[in-house]
Order: sequence, then structure tokens, then C-alpha cells
Amino acid sequence: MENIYASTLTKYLNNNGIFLVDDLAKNTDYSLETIKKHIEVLAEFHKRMIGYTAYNYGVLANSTGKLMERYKINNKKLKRQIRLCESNKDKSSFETLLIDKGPEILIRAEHAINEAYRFGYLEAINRSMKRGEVCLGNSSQSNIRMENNILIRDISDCGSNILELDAVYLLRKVKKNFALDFNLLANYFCEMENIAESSKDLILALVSYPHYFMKCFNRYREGRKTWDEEKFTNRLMEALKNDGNILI
Amino acid sequence: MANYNDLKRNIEENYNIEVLDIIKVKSSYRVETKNKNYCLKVIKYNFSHFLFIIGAIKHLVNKQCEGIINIIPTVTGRDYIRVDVYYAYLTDWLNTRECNYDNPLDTYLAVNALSKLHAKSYGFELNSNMKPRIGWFKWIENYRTRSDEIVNFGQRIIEKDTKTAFDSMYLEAMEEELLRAEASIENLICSEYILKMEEEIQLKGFCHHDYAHHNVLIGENQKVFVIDFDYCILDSHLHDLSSLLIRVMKNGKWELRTTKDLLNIYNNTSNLQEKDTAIMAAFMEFPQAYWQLGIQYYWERQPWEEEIYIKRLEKILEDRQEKQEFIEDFRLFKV
Repeated sequence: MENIYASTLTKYLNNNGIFLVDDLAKNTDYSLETIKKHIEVLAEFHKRMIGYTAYNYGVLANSTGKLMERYKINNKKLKRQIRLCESNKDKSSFETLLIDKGPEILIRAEHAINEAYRFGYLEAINRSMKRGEVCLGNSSQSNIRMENNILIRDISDCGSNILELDAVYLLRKVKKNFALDFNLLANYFCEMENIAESSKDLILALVSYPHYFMKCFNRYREGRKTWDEEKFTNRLMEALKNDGNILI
Repeated sequence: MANYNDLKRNIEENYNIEVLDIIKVKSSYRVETKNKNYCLKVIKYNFSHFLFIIGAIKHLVNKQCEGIINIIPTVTGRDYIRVDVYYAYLTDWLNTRECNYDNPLDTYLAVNALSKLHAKSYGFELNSNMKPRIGWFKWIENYRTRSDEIVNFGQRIIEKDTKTAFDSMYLEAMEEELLRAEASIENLICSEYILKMEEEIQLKGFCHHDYAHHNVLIGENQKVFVIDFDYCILDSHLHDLSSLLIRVMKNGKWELRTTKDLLNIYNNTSNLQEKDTAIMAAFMEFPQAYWQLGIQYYWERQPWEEEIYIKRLEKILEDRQEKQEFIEDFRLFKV
């Protein structure tokens, strides 16, 4: 069954001028104009893919709602962990940092979720379901490019979802290292996609979620990395920096 | 299962269609013809239980319950064919996708469809050929039996010469889970469960009893279809509703707000009563997932890697405190 689906998807992609490639040369240009051009490529990809799932249910993953649910779970786990750390008599350096920064991060995380709902999260899902939108998942410049055709390196995170998330993934990554006008970029994305203006704020709310902090915190909580306390502490400090400013 | 050519001939003769291909999809077969596709669903139960299942489906169709797929009769007007030692029925194959319980809008559609299904299930008359599963009044006894089964898993572990990592983890959690089981039984007894069942049995309704996301399909224009009635049971609708709440909120998503939203939607068609939440809380409190994993490991010996069993157990244990806190709040919740 999987082979049938795979060939159908590849055929569909190719018929629509989208080709999977083994590698793409790294693009290190993060200027505003380059990111705007990249947003145009994403918009073109979304346009060519829209409605695909309507006739091919089950071929791509259905990722709608997963990110938001993950964010809500993160918030609960962090709240619980802060309480737990506070009750510990001997606190490690990581725990001390978590108690110090955690409450502030939690407020930020809850604010991001509330704002996402306020700026049309459910409406975006409704639109996405009706139109059969497809989100690439990995929307970075190193994964998708336009060279006559659309070239994509990795399509494994591609699935049914609100297409705003491709903007979130892209801008979150850019924001880590570059201070661009994200308001303008989110707005440009909505223009290119021809979606409601409220989606600009939905994107900015989700980009403001403390993604890197939560990622590091989860690694600590789940024991997925065999880092010592000092390394975890340093990584959490780094994550705080990577999450940058709140955009909304 | 029947060989390909026998099955093809069987379908062609009984339904007067020219079959191009038959493809197994999960527990069903997609029967492809020139003009359209069909779904052949084989049910691996005895005939009288099979008759109960298709009786329940036909009852819903006759009551024009939205999203229930009609059974296609054979050329002689029967609702089924025999496939080896089992029986099977044919429906249209629908171009749909599975419901996604992470998507709040999908979940709203699912709970709305469940509410309609329950309302339409009322008035189901059994005939003497049908042998149904019955759940009314039985959950206190069922939970006691399941608690004893958990104790049995513990004895098996203790008797083992060499314990696996899963054995040790399962045993370590057992005391707390048995206490939880006991509390859920006690809470069910203290609720108005018996009174509720006395009311419900008069309504003659039934439960789907396997309302998993893959049994709720969403098609064009968000039309919802409910499939796979294999576990259908004569029981309170509260059982399905509790099970749906668990499926939506398990693994860290326990929230009264979500519950309130879902129960409000459910109430658009059905009529939940104040006494219902205590009954549902008791249903949800029983450590069903822990018991089920024990059954799969110690009795059924499902051929999964040890690592998979451990991961499943870790997930259950990680979730239990948060779930319990939710249950305590939900018990007092007013619908």
C-alpha cells in the first residue's frame, strides 16, 4: 500500500512541477528581500498542493492541531516541574535556573497560545480543512527552492495543516539569528497566500512561543540527552537567547 | 482467509459485480470495480453475534442516522455473505480521511456524530437470533474482575525466575493502580449508576464501544461517517462518551475546558443529566490502559518488542497523576 501512495504522491508532485532532490546548496543569505522571495516560493508550493489531500486521504500525515496540543502539554509540564523544583531542598543549577526563568517563560507561553486563539487559530483550521491545505513542515531555505521547478529535499514532515505553520517554522528559524522586520514578513506571507489579515498575528503569536526553551526543558525532563547539569544549564541559557523577543 | 480467486468469485456471484481487484486495508477489503469501489467487512464472531452487529447498523440506517453507511444486499436480498468460517457485509467505499483528535474541529464533529448515533440507537429491538454483548449494570462487576486480573499479572511476575524490565516496572506501579481501581469501583457504587442503568435499559439504545479516531471518517464538506461496529454493545451512552474524552485528552491533555466544550456539543442532540458526570468520572478513573497493557503482555503475549511495552507503560504512568487530578475536578463538574 505504501508504495502505491508513494508513487501517487511523487507523480502528483512531478506533474505539478515539484521535484524531490537529494540535496540543496546551503543558502546563507537571510536578508529581508531573500526571505520575502522565499515566502513567495512557499506560497507557490502551497498553491500547487492545495486540495491534494481532498482526493488522496491518508497519503500525507494529518498534522492539524498537533503543534498547539504539544505547546499546551509543554506548558503543563513546565508548571508542574517548577512546582517540583521549588519543593526540592537541594537544587541543581538547572533547577535554580528553571525556578528563576520558568514562571516568566510560562506566562509568555500561555500568552502566545491565548493570542493564537484570539487571532483566528480555529478559523484557520476551518479554512485549511475546507481548502485541503498542505503544509511543508520543513520550510527553511535549505529544504525548498525555486529553480524553474520547485525543488524539495525532504518531504517527510509534509502534511495536512494550516499553511501559516510554514511561516512560523521559517520565521522562528530566521529570528534565532537575525533581527528582521517580522511584522512585515508575516504580513507579506498573508498577502502572498491571500489569507485573512488576522493570520499575521496568529503567525507572530506562534513565533513568540518559547519553542527553544521548551525543547531544552523537555530534553532534560525526558532524559533524552546524557548531558550533565552544567551542559543543560548552558543550553537553557542559549535557548532563552534563541527564543528572542516576544513579537505580539 | 479465503484465497483471492475464491473471494473474488464469491463477491461477483453474490453481488452481481465485476471485480477488478481486492486489496486488504486494515481489517477490511477494498473491492475495486470499473465504476466504483466497495468495502467488504469480515466480522470474526459467531453468526448470532454477527447478526446483532448488522442489526444495530441497519437500525441506525432505518432511523436515518447521518453518517451510517448502508449495507448493500446480495442478489438474493441477504445482508451478508459467508467468507470461510466467518460472515461479511458489503458497503460503498468512501473517499474519506480519518478523524484527528488533535484537531479541535474534528473532535467537535466526532462528538456531534456520537451524540446523534446514541439518540438514533434508542428503540433497538433484538430478535431471537441475535446474541448481543450487554454492558448495562455490569461495570462494577467487570471492574472487579479486571482488578483480579491485575492481581493475577502480579502473581505471574512474582513466580517468574527472571523478571524483565517491564515486569519490574509493571509490578512497581501495581499497588497504586489497584488502589485506583478500587476507588473507581467505590465511586461507581456511590454514584447513581444503577438508577441510570434502570432508566437507560428502558430506552433500548446501544454503544459503539470503539470510538477511536480511525473509526470516525470525515469526507467531503466535513460529512462524518462512523464505521466498524464490531465492538457494539448494549450499554449506556455514557460509556462511549467517557471513552471519547479519554481518547481526546490522554497523554497530558486533561482539561475541564475541553471537556466542557465537548459535553456542550454532545448536549445539542442528547440530554446529559447532573448525575452523569459522577458516573463518567468513575468510568474514566478505572486504570483501563494499565489493565489492557497487562492483558496484552501476560495473557495475549502480543509479539511486540519489549521496548514498545516499556514505552507504553511509561506513557501511562507519566499521565496518571494529571489524569487523576482531572478526574477529581470532573467528578464535581456540573453539566
